Amino acid sequence: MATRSSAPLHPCSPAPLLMSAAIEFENVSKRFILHHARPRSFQELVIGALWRSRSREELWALNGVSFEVEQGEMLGVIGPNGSGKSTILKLISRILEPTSGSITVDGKVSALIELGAGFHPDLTGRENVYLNGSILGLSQEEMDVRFKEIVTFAELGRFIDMPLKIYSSGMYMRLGFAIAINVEPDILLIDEVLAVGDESFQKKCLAKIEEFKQQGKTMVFVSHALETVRKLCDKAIWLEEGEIQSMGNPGKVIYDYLDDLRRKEGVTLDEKHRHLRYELEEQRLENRWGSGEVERLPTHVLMGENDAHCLDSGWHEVEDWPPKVRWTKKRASLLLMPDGSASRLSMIAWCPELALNPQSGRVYVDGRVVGKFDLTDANPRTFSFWLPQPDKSQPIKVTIEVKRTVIPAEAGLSEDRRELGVAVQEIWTD
Amino acid sequence: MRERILELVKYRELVRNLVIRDIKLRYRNSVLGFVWCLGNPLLMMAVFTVVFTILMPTDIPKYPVFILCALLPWNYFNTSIMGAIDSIVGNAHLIKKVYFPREVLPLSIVLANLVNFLLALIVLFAMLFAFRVRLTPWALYLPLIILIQTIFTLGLGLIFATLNVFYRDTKIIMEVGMLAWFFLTPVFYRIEDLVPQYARLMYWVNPMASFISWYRIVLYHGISMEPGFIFRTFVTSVIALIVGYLVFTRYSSVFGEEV
Repeated sequence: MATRSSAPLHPCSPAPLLMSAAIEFENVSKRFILHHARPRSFQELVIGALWRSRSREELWALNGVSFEVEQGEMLGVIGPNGSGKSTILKLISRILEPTSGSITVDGKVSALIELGAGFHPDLTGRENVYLNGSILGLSQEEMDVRFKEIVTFAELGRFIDMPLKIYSSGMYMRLGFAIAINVEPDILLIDEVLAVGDESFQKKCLAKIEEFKQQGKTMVFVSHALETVRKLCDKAIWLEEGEIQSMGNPGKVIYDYLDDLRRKEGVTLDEKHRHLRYELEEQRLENRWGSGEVERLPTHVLMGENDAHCLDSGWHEVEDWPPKVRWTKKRASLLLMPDGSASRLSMIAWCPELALNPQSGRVYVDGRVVGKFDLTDANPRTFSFWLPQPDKSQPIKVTIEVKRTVIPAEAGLSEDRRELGVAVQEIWTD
Repeated sequence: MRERILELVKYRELVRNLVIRDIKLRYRNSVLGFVWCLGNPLLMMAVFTVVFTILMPTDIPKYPVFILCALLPWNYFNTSIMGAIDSIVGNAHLIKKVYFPREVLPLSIVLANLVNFLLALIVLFAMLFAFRVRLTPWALYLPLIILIQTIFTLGLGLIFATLNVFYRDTKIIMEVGMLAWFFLTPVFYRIEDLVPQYARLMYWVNPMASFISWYRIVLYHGISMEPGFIFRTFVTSVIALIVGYLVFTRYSSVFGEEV
């Protein structure tokens, strides 16, 4: 029998102080009776009753799925189309009821499943904001507080008092997104919303997701963008035909998934996924999965100007390599000089025999991406970011990961191979 | 059951916003806007009056008031039921994407129509005044009648809304059904004009006949009502609501996959 226990006062109960599971699936199964096999009218019902030939086609979208998402954790769900990913989100948000098993959800859920569900084209932006807020279970006063923030985030300006039917699809989406993230959910469900919208909007979404992570919100992220799942998620599930194939460290789960895909007949991984798989395999060979609490990035540091082949790995302290780093109490700026003689980054870029293109890469602070850079524009870039939880006893690791984007054939490296130049510095806050 | 009702209370803001949305949308795109809410009953009254005083004269005095007393409550009932039938299927995009107590949808439809009905009562009172029908203290029964009718309408609306999710024919059948119901309810004729045994049968099986008579008795005739009659209608309505609510909540958890 399907049971659904939830914390009392389901959508609005405050998150408990203790670390506990925000979402818990226990042996959850979901059966759909396929619509074409179901009588949709009295006529079909009568015919069905007379002939009894009507086949009840069943589809088990989920089959005995169990997992837990801790408070503040971000879970990535990957798998092919029709594997049951979206069904999980719909079960969490209570749109669907499980056929069997139990689901516990603790906290207010907001879903970025379809932005602007419930928008009415004839109502103005303002009216839609309030209507949508109440659909998500917020009161008028609660929406009053958030209204300004929503309008600012959606960049609507004076359009807010015009009917939605004159909005561009971008405005429509921005408004939907702004509402969904400003209802201050405890649990945020994200379903491929990042796949839509222009690049700047996607960036904004990612930045907001980062912010939610910092705030310790629980998130479930369903995506085909494996690279994003690896970067963002603390944990991942690979679903196939409604069953969990692999669960745990995102890198490992994605590797398992890609490896399985590769083995399948008639499937060729595209360039992007081949690279990702290769990268992950390297990690796997170096046995770097661990418990997932500490993540080590592949760290190949190129040493010295003329010693380009000397690769080192592991956390590396480089004394003569401080890119100009300034620290204030809570905020750090990091200046990268593409042509600065003291910068190791520039030295990597200067190695002629590897013919490395000007570098692009990412900057991590404690394993979290704080920025991307591309030095092709030959301009110094400054990254500013907030330091996570300043703690005198803990070093903060700033990692700069540099990707070589073009590998010439004459370098004698196989085309599939890609190296990462990573410089690491440990900095203690004062 | 208790939890579900508490949850519904928590979503009262949504009900309110949906009611406001409905009313706003109804008149926003028409030139005359809000005037229609008063003009529509007047036009319908004019049509019936032309038919039954000029084309096919009856001996009913003050026919415009006679018809309006019944037509407004009937319209309230009719639009509520037809709206409620479509409330779940018509909002499939919402049902599939967001969770909220599903009963909010038919409830807000009925309440939006109630607001409309209350506004239309202005026209009724204006007509009562224009035709010099003297209001008696019995007119104070009006809020009670409206309340009981709303309870009945809501109960029925919940049942039909659920049925329509599983069998889309419900809506098509009810379009004819409501027309038949209209003719079987003493809206444009007097129940006394019927063959007596049918009149009694009508009171027994058609709660709408009771409501309509009730409005006429307290407004048009301005006389008192039999308390037993009030009680019976009340019980019928409450039963309709309980049954409707149980049926609806029994199946509402699968609406997400059936709409």
